[in-house]
Amino acid sequence: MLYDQINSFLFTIIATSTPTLLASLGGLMTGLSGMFNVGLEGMMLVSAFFSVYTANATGSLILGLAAGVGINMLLGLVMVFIAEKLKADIFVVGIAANLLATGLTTFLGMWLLGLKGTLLFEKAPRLKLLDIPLLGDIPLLNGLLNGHHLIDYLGIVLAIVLYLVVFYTTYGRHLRAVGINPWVANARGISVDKVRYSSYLWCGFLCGLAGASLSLPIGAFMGGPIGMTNGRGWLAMAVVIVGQDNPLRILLVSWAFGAISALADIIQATTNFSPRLMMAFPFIGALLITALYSAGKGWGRSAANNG
Amino acid sequence: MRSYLEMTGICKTYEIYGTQIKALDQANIQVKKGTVHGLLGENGAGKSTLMKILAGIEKKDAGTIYFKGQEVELNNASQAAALGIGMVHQHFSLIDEFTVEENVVLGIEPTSFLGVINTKQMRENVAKVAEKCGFELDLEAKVGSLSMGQRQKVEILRVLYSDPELLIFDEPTSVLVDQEIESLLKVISLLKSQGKTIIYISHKVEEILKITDEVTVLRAGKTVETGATNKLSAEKLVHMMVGKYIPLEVPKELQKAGKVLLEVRNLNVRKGMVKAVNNVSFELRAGEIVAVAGINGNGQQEMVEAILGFRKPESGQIFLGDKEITSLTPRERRQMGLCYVPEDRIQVGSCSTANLAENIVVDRYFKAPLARRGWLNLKTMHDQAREMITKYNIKATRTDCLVGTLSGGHIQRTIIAREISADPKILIACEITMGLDVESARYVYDVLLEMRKMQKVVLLLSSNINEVMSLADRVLVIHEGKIVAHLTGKEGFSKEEIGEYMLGLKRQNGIKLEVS
Ligand SMILES: Nc1ncnc2c1ncn2[C@@H]1O[C@H](COP(=O)(O)OP(=O)(O)OP(=O)(O)O)[C@@H](O)[C@H]1O
Ligand SMILES: [Mg+2]
Repeated sequence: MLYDQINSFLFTIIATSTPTLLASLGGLMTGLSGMFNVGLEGMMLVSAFFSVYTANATGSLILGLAAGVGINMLLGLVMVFIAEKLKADIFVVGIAANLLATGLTTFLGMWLLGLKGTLLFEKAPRLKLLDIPLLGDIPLLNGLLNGHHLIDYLGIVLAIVLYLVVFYTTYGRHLRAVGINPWVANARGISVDKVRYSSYLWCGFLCGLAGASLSLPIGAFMGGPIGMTNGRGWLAMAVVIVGQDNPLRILLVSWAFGAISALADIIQATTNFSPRLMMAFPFIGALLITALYSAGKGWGRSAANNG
Repeated sequence: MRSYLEMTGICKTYEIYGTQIKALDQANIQVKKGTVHGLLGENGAGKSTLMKILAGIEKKDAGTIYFKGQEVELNNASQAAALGIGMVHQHFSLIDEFTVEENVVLGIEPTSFLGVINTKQMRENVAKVAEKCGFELDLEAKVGSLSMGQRQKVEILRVLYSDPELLIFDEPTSVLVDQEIESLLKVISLLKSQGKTIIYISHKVEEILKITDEVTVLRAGKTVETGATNKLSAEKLVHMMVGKYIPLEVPKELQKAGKVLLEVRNLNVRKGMVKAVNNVSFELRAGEIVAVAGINGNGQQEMVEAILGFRKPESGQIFLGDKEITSLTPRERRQMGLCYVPEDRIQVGSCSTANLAENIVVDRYFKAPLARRGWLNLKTMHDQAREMITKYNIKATRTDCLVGTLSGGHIQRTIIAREISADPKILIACEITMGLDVESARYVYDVLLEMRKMQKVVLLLSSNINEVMSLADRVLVIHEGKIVAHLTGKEGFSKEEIGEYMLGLKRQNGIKLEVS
């Protein structure tokens, strides 16, 4: 009984933390290149809309996914272009992307479907839960590991792949070099521009998956200021900070943040705590963790200096 | 028949807030294959800029470059690298967060498959090159934790690693001590004997005379002289560099030391696991210049940082006059007249992305007349900066130009201007003439001697043994965190003797640290 409860709790964590995980991996890649993207929320929203819309229009999940990811990668390129070539501050560009995303998706919903609020896409094929025989055979963990969405698995795999890319490949090393000191990178013949564009392509790709993972399983889209992304893009920024530029750490931190929201859901369902307050719970938790972490890091640094 | 390298009519103009700065104005240089070519000129003459253009890091506005008989366009560093041109930068191009070996291979990492870095191969390759140059370096240490001298070696290693045929050295010896300079010059001769061509920038006359075959002199962005080195004397060379006669010896009057201004008692400083400073005690008296000699990384930096309050000592006491300052903040110490010219002028001494005026007032902007009731008086700030520009001969057209755009020597002058204008009682000067041309170095010596005359004290940390010999009243030699010798002028000290103590070959017994 307890085993089942724990199992289902952990299962929920993996399932619900996917969008945050993917978005923070995207944020990480841009942060490593020295141009941290604060438009993660907006990117996710754009992809959530386009993926489910395309899936509905074409009847194909793959095309839907490709559309969400593709449009996001394009958006990423445009963002770096504005920052690098037109010399806008990347922070402002990120904020603009967030505002644009909210407006654009609402507008497109009105224009294409004549509807506001929740948009239902009935013809869109749903992203199904997978039953992977190999995972299903593992004793004890089978309930936990098996039966997630494709994108949930992708998220974990990508965290591992990115860890290898960042720390073991020339691309990863050049990416970090550009972020730490673009002048030096340039002097070594590393193209700073290319690396930055590529980091935004990664970000577009990852946030694209994140957005699709929200809308494709339910075949619906909720726009507006508090759309279906519901602050996950902002939460992802905190994850990147606590994750210390390390994809595997980011995986753990997003699970930790996921655990906080799962806990909030349980409390909401089992007690009569104010539900509104409970909705703020994950964010308060994130705030606390980030603050504690930053304070700890500051302390660690001064200790290292003195020690 | 064209020379191996010919740069003709090179122009480069920078623009800062609408003001045009002509860094290069029709500069020319011709270098023969297999020679060492000296590139000389006063601070801000355009030496680094010309070489950055050759290394593909800056773009020229006009002019042509012929390399091996072919006209070449150098739009980025990889194009230059592909042609076999490598440059040791004046301000190192290293990433502090990366290890030595990662820095050395950055941009040309050996890979095994799919862009995966072959760490084993990298390690072997780098170790091989390091051994060839005779550099002792911990290849797995983070560059940020190294001393400036060690970083200089990494920077050199980095260029040698890619095995270019034309090597540019931009002031490579500013932070190296004698023995290290010797070994670098040996490496350069070796490279020359292998048929490589070298362009060598330095303000040190002896080095130029020793290793170059020909020299080219730049002044205000133009080529003013060029010729064979063996037809030159030291005086002639200096004359060519600055356009006037500068006496090379420093006049120092005898004078008696006054009361104790700074005392360090049983100072111990730990850096990570190692004991960087080991039970060091000494005192500095008014009217003295005291030098600390030591090979880079023997604890002198940590000692200085502890005195300044940047680093917490493990134990020990520091007194300014008769007041204990061991637990005061750096700013409080500064207000008491303790000033500092750090050896790392880019990361510690100045802020490249702030402007000149801001860099000058950074230690006093919060006090009258620069601030009243929390409001800054910007006009006074820029007026003061303008005054400094004139007084210290800083080549900057505007007080609001970013310090990062100044030439190396002029960044150094900006820092010196700030520290000296703070009217210090005690000045800790680390590599204070680093990168300064002959004339400015001379000026700085005069300033230091003036401080001595005014009954102030200078603690001089310098890798330049001649500087130590001509300025210092006393020399403390530090080796592995311990003061191993205390040499006073009276007993006399020789270069060789200091060298032996520095290398730890010799050590004094019962060191007496007071002056009578
Ligand atoms: N990025 C830049 N922006 C604006 N001005 C610059 C920039 N880089 C160099 N300059 C200016 O160009 C001139 C030449 O600088 P350069 O660094 O080539 O001098 P240098 O001969 O190497 O001097 P030093 O001996 O002091 O190193 C200087 O006046 C400098 O201020
Ligand atoms: Mg220079």
